[in-house]
Amino acid sequence: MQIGTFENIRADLKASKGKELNKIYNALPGLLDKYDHDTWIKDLLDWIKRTFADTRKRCVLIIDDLLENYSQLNDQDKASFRKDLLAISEIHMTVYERLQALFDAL
Amino acid sequence: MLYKMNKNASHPILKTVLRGIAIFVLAVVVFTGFYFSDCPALFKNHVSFNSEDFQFKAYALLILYRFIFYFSFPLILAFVEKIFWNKNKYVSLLIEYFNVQFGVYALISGVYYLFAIDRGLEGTVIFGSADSFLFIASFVFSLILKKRFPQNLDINEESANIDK
Repeated sequence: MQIGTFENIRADLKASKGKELNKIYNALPGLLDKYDHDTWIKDLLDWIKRTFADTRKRCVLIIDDLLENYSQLNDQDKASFRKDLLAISEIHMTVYERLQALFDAL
Repeated sequence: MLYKMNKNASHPILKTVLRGIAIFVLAVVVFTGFYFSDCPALFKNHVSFNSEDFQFKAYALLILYRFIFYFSFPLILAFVEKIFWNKNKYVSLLIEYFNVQFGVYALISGVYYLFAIDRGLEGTVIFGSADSFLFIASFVFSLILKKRFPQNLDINEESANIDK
């Protein structure tokens, strides 16, 4: 399920533009602080990689980094992580998804 | 313009059509407002009781959303018509508006299924939860309340006019 949410965010990143992309980008570093437990050398290398990338690519790199760390989290962190990811995946919804959600709710 | 048209709408069908258009326009405006809010995401992920992601805010918004679509249009439009244009009792106007709303939603639903939009949206049902509710509300308002206020109904006045 978590992998599915990751994939949703990846798909959102491809479709998002402007404000939405910035919102996703602003939300992801918070997850890195909370759930990324890499060594400082790995963190430094990741940071250098991200420095030379555009916003969209940075988001993808952060997601890859988070995905690498996911298996090392305990159950409580996994649950909390899942909620945080869900909140980010809700930033971008396609027209189709929005219509479906509103029609379903009627 | 609507005022003039409504005032001149002596024909019951024209009156009903105008009321139907008013309800349809309001429904579109409200739907568009919800579309651009956070509500679609909230309704999609946070209203299931047995989910960890359940949020009371989302649940309350869903109730509000349904209340607006099921109740508010007849309540508001009947009130406006009563205040500005109509001497009939509010309840009799309310009955008529609920009937018109039932018709408008049935029409929207019919178009939705006729053009197979439900298949396009992966089997999403429109007014699925509203079907029985609207039927019952329409039935209750039409039959039970009509019996209590028969003298206030347009249909009786029109029948009287025809008899003359």
